[in-house]
Amino acid sequence: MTDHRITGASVSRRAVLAGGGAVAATLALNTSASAETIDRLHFLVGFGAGGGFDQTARGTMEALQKSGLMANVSVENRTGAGGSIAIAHLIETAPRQQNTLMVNGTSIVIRSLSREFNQTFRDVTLVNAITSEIYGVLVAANSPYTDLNQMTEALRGNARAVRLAGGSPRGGIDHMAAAKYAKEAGVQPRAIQYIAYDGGGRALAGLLGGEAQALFMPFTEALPQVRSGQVRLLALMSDKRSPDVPTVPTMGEKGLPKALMYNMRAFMAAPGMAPARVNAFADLMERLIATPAWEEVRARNAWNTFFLRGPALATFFETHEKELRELLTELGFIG
Amino acid sequence: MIEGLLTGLAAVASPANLVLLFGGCLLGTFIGMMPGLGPVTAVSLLIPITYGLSPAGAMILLAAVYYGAMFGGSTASVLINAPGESSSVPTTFDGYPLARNGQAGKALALCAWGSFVGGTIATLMLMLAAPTLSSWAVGFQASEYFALMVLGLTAIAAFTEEGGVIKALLMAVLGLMLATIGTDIADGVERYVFGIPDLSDGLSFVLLAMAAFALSEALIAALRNQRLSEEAKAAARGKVGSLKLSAAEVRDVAPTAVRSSILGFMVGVLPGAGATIAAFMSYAVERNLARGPAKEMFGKGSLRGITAPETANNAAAGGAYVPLLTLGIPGSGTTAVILGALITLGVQPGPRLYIEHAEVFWAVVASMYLGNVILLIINLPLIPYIARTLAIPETMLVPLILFFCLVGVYLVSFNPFDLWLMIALAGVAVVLRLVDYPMAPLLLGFVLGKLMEENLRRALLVHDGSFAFLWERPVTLGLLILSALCVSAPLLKRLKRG
Repeated sequence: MTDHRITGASVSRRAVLAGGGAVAATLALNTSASAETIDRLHFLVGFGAGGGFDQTARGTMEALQKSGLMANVSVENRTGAGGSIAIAHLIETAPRQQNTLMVNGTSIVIRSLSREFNQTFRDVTLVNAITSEIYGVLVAANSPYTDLNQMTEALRGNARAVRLAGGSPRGGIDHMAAAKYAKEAGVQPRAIQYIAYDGGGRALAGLLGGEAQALFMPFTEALPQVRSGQVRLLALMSDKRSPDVPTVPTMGEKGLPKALMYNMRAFMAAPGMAPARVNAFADLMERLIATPAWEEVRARNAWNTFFLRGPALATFFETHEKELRELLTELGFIG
Repeated sequence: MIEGLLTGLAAVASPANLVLLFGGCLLGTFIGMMPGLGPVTAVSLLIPITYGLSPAGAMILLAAVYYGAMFGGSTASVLINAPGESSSVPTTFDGYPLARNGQAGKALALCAWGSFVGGTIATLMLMLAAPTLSSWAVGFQASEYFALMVLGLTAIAAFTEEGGVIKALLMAVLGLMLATIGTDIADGVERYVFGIPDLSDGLSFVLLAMAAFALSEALIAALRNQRLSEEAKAAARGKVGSLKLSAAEVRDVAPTAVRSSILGFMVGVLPGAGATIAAFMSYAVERNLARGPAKEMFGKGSLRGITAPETANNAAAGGAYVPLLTLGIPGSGTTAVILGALITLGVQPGPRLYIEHAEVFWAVVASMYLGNVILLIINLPLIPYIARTLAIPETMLVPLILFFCLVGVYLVSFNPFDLWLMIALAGVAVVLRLVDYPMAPLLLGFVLGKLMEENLRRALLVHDGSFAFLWERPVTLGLLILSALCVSAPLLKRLKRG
């Protein structure tokens, strides 16, 4: 078994077909009148099984099935090149992907900004945003920092005083989160010490072992460790508290109201899909998030439901891209 | 503890759960046999089915499939030199030569027994020492990982034929170089990608191993076109040979199995290492420990050589449960999927899992154990049938191997680029093999290279660019001294003799 990335990106180059009618699901359903009838749904995940995107797809599949909204749902992991293999596949085979939704989000924005990534979110059809994972600042239980302000002060004194870490490579979203915090705290983002781990699991091991002193990652990924008292969640990079960790303060409460970071997850369809069909998918998802089955899955994973569709979604993506571009420029990752 | 295990066994031994165990082992074995498809695929395939099961039932099914796939991976390694998944790559080193010598039955039986012993010892260690080991695992930091990889590299010596030292070293360096392809996580920079997005994740180990072994082997067989000896060879290969091991053989491999179980388990506990590294390391350790004629046999069909990696990779799979259950940290793709399933079932892994979900913990331990037993019951009788693959004449077997390798690699990523890449790599491998460059050091360098570099750089970052951690951290220093001894011992011996 190969050991690659654990969270947020490809676990390994494995692909999986699961659920009913996986192969059949990719066949086109282009009988003219019934084009808006959706009777099966195929999730395309550009990352490996076990990672964040995969969990979004599988969790949504579970909720769709348990709520009775859709029985015929499948998940396919088409991994490689940070999700771009799946994007390219969706674009190339667009005519026969009428039942397919690809799971992506903040990742596609960062990767198309920072690398020679040929596609952007404009090359696919945006359907709806579904969740938004809020970033948190974590320290080990034995850390001297019990309050975020103590750490902020230490960093203001010396930008390298605290070893910040994350489960994504340099220039990836976890690094962005650390940089955003530093910037808002008045610390030069390029001066901070960022230690990159291969996935959230290894990063947590590094934090528990004392190699990293503070970790920036979606707080839900560390919830087992937070609940068992092995790590302390100092603050959420969000503008409001989370019902899942009600005692944890927000960045705003710690005097850094603009230090926000989240990993938005959205469903995207093949380019050129008929607007009526896109609407039918968005309707389905809007109905889903109101069901008890969704609430069950959401609560268990401590997801933050974040539903947006139509023009509001397009505007959101544009703003998201603008903010991330500024941050990446400041860090020197783009010229 | 005994009551705990008995409760677990009682929970697992219900007829419904036994069906799950049986079905899971069987299904896992078949998925694992497919070149390229391994435990991750098998486990994620079954996730939707676990929704309808109790937490204990779900863990039982997943553990059964996991073990089944680990074993299935070995059969393809032995029979057609195509590792079913990366942790069974070292199994090809001696398993395939054994099958060529008409001892396929014995090789497969050793795989089954090795898996059983490895799994059993790992279960015992998980039961006895999980909490202690988890604190050891998190204490193992970047500098220790680096030193461990250096120790692993000394295994090149183990893959060196007499007089082939330079060739083995060159191939290991080539492997280290290939490992740098892809996105470097410390800097977020792409290296040797040449603007091809398909390369930005680096080369896949399974793809490289299949190109280096199965595909190039099949191509060489086609090139040689030895029509004359064809019938005689088919007859030799068709012989499955006895499954039984003599008492002397058991005595020969027993210490290997115990050593490899312990080593495999300890490496498996580390979230950054895993079953593949465990398998390579135990192979190297056994080769280094062997003396005289036993050492000569390594790479040519040594029973110890097949026992070591087969035992170690199953033990490592058990070891991976330590950080998973006690810290909630998945060490590999498969355990990440299992962690997801646990959380879905409302079980929160962590230091209190023992107390809060004692029934789940013991059910996992019991199901792992029963999974091992059932694996043995299913697979031993199947071996003669599986091994009959070899009786297929080469004119048909070669195209079949080519077909299965290509399909297997395609099913991993659904990316046609991987197929072209594998064919190109196989072409290079054919040339290298024809001029007697060994492939094993290449794979060893590749598998260790990425982790070695990543951890060295992380250690340097953490220690502000100072190399002092190499001698200031006792475990790091100890591992490095051990590496130095491994390299210098044969040289010293030669000096003494000369």
